[in-house]
Amino acid sequence: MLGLAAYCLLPWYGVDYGIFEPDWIEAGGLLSEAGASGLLRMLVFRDATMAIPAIAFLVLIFAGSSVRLSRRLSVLSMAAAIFALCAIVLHIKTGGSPIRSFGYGSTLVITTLFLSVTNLWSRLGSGNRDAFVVSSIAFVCALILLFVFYPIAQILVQAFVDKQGSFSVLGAFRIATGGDIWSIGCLLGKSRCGVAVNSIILGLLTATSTTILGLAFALLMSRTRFPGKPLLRALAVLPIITPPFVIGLALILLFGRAGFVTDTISGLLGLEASRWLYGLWGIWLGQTLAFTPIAFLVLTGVVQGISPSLEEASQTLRADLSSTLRTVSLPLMKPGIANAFLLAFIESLADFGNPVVLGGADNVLSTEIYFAIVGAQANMMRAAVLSLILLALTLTVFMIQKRWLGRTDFTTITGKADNGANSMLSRNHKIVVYGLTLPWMCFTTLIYVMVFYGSVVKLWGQDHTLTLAHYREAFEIGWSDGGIWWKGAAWDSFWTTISISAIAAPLTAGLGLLTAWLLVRQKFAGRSTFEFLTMLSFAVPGTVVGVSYILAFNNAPIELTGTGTILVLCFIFRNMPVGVRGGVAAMKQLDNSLDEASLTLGANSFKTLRHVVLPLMRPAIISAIAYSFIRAITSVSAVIFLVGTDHNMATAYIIGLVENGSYGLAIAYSTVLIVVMLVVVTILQVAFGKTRLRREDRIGQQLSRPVVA
Amino acid sequence: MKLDTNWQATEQTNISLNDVRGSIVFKDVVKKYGAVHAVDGVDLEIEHGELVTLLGPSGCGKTTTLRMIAGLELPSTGTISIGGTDVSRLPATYRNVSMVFQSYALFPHLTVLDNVAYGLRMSGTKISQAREKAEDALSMVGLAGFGARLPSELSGGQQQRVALARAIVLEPEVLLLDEPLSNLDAKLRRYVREEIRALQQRIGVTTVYVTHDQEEAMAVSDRIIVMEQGRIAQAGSPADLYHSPKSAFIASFIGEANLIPCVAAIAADGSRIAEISNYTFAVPKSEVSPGEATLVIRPAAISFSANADEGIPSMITSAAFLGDRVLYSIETPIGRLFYVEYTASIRHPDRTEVNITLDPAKLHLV
Ligand SMILES: Nc1ncnc2c1ncn2[C@@H]1O[C@H](COP(=O)(O)OP(=O)(O)OP(=O)(O)O)[C@@H](O)[C@H]1O
Ligand SMILES: [Mg+2]
Repeated sequence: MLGLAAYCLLPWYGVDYGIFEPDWIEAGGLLSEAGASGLLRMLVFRDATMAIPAIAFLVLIFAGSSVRLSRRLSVLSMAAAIFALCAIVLHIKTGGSPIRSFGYGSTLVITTLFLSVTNLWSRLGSGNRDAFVVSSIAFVCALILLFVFYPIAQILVQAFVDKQGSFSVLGAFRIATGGDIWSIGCLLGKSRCGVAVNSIILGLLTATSTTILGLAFALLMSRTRFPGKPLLRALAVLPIITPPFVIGLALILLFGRAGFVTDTISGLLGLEASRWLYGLWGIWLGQTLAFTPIAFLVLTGVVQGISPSLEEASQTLRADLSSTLRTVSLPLMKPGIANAFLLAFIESLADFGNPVVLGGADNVLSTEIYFAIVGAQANMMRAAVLSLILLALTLTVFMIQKRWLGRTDFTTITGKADNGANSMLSRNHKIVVYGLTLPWMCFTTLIYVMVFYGSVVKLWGQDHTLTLAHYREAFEIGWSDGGIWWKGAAWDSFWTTISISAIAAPLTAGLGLLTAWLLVRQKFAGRSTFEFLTMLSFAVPGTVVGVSYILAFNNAPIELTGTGTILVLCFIFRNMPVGVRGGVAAMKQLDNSLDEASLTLGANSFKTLRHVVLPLMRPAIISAIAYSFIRAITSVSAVIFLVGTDHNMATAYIIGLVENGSYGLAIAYSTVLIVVMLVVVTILQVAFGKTRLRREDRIGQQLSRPVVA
Repeated sequence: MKLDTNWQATEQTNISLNDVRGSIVFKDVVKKYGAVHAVDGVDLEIEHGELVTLLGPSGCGKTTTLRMIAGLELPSTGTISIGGTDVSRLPATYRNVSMVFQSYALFPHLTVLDNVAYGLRMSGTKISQAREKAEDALSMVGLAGFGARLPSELSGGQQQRVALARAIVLEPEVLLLDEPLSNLDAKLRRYVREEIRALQQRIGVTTVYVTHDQEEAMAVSDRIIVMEQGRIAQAGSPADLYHSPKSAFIASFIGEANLIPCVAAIAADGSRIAEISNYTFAVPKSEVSPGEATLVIRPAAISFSANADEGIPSMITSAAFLGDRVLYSIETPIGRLFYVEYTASIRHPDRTEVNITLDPAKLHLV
């Protein structure tokens, strides 16, 4: 029905104006050639292909109105719908030149036709195929194919097209094997390393340091009586709501050329201020600060997942605390530790914020891709090839990680669990753990103090008088005749960011949870492939997503660059895996018998999802929304390629400020973002009960029951 | 409550050094978790080589008591000594005690053999020697040849025996078992509990066994300690607890019993009688003080009267045939009684009137 209305009323092709703006009406509205709806195109402009959807809709409505559908009729109407779908897609690809893009009308028509097909398909299948389930699976798959795989395929194509537009395998090969990418000169102490080698070295360094620190923090948290645990929790959450380059900025304020520490030391020792921070070492420091909390969260689950009775058994068998840790706990944690290591490795490869701020002369893959596109000679081919290399690296690590997790079996030894507590650390281990964590905690705290301090001094390194000028410049509000006048320089991007994130967050959470529900509660052919595909998009680095989106959605038939829509879509598909994982974890705790009870009471699967599963999952839903909102606000890597003049995002704007050297303004803006996210998360938590950490605690407890091998 | 050990007084008179090894003594032990008193003032003595069960309803403090013997929890107040030495503050690692966990707690990353050898390795035995001893222990529990497997490749019953082997290979002073049978199916349970008892007798180790199944407790133990809300309600041999329960709680917990409120009075000859409405019953074995009391009528104390003018006129309200026995529910003037008769068929169907008699020698007053 909706499709039919769209067919009649909405413009078929993409139009340059919003449909509610007066410009469009002036240009002729529905009655013009370019703005006509499908129905009008057929009747007024004699576009014969437009008759196909009309016929398909008539068949469908006829089929829909007959109560008991005969098999032949369903097949027939399904065929009609499929035919119409193909016709529309082919028509828009081949019909006329220049190629025109899909408009509101055609998008809706395609969607409804697609859903009708899946609906009919489910009725054809054997009895237990539920229309809602089949449609959802098809819908999610189609979306993932269109918005994750299609763009990546575009990169693959672009990698072999050189500047003149001709196909060139050799060229691609030459770029891919170039010395500027793979040189290992720095290891031999001669010249620089290639960008890919830089990325890998950095990934290994960061993964090692974050895993060690994360493990130390996890042990501190759950195996000692450390009094500052609440502070530790807060410090673990902070980086999640910190835009990725902020830590880099703070490091510059401390150790940069005009940095606080640099000044002090060179003053004391008479050494010349060095530029060591701008390069691999600086990025390593920044990434270690940024990703240690992630490793900490992952490893806390691992450390708490060790069954207490195993450690107690070890103690009744004459092992002391040190040997228990060495011979029982650590071997059991090994897969979890490896997992944290690989995760940090992927994060480091994909990171863009720290390298772009701190990189200096040492480029890594993600920044090199960026500069290939925005640099003096925009080189799409080079960007595409580099993207493929980066993608290949992250996917390889991702595969290794999946393999690893798949191999370790979660042996659950039956029966009711023993109560008991995990053992504490021995004295020697405690010294090591405190020695690692306490200085690092102080350092992290110092970084955040610096962020705040940096935002209120006039000009860092030269004039340290306190001032609110940066905040005023960014967020000044004035009054004009019409009402509030958003005078500050940052308001524009600020509102765009908030509104786009607010639109994307519920959509992300919805799609993620729907997918999670399908994965956990529905059995269908190809389920594991489906799961793999959804999680795969997690391993695609943001930079690659950005490049792929500009390649795929820059031209007809799907023309989205520069719009808010592309940002929303990008966020949805980048952050969806988070929602999926949260949803899967939460749903696994709900007993399946609840669903089954509801089904036996006569509800169909949609009603069951709506009335039974969703209400029970409220905490998971809230945290998925909060998390997607935060990730949308803080993300940089993909966004930086996609922002347009109308839609500038806060992070992209701040990067621009950093490139111009306006550190004060950049930091003031970042501080405001952090505070806003803190407020949003707090409101959500107060309004809907404790969400994130609490839920993880419960999952942690759940985990501590089965014996994790 | 002081543990009643009179029944053993004669054996206790001459204590040799060998008897002290493996004995356990609790003196007024309290374990608090915040405001909860999980164990609330327990005194007990367990002798060398005894198999004692801790029995009681869920949450009464059995596991906590056991874990204090193991050294996994330290008492809040009171002292615990094992083998004559005070171990109240000694952590598990340094106690000569082994424990079989309810979940077995086999190390999933070690093979069966390495699991069993673990304790020996930790106390500094050479690897070859430890393996050898572990092999012996495995064959003692009937698992020779399973050494190379991982615990996850064993059945529940086999895992349980590995856990047992891992505990006894250390030749501990005390062996602790926390509901060792709860993860096994009903058929296996009876078999395994006999095995455990036989093994315990063979190596003569002092054993404390936690369970909440009274049949299991009666079957394996030398002595049963019944706990209730963190305290010892009564301790004694299975027969003691069955035949002379000290409270209605014990009477209902150990074996089946009908509990009928009554008034206890002293007869002319000094023995006790129980008065219920206008019936009186002689209870010769009782020494309860007069006043409100509970009459404990075990099913075995009931019988159908041979002739109609004898006994209490009653009515059968239900009769269920279970193969070797018949369960009756009988409405009587003193209350509803539950009765088991071992016969091949139902003699008195539903709704028939019968007369019943109670055997005074099998009645108790508490
Ligand atoms: N770590 C703990 N923290 C707080 N309370 C505890 C703790 N461990 C046990 N308790 C409380 O102490 C009491 C005794 O617990 P315990 O585990 O000894 O019972 P149990 O007799 O073994 O019961 P079950 O038969 O169910 O295993 C219970 O009320 C329990 O809630
Ligand atoms: Mg217990």
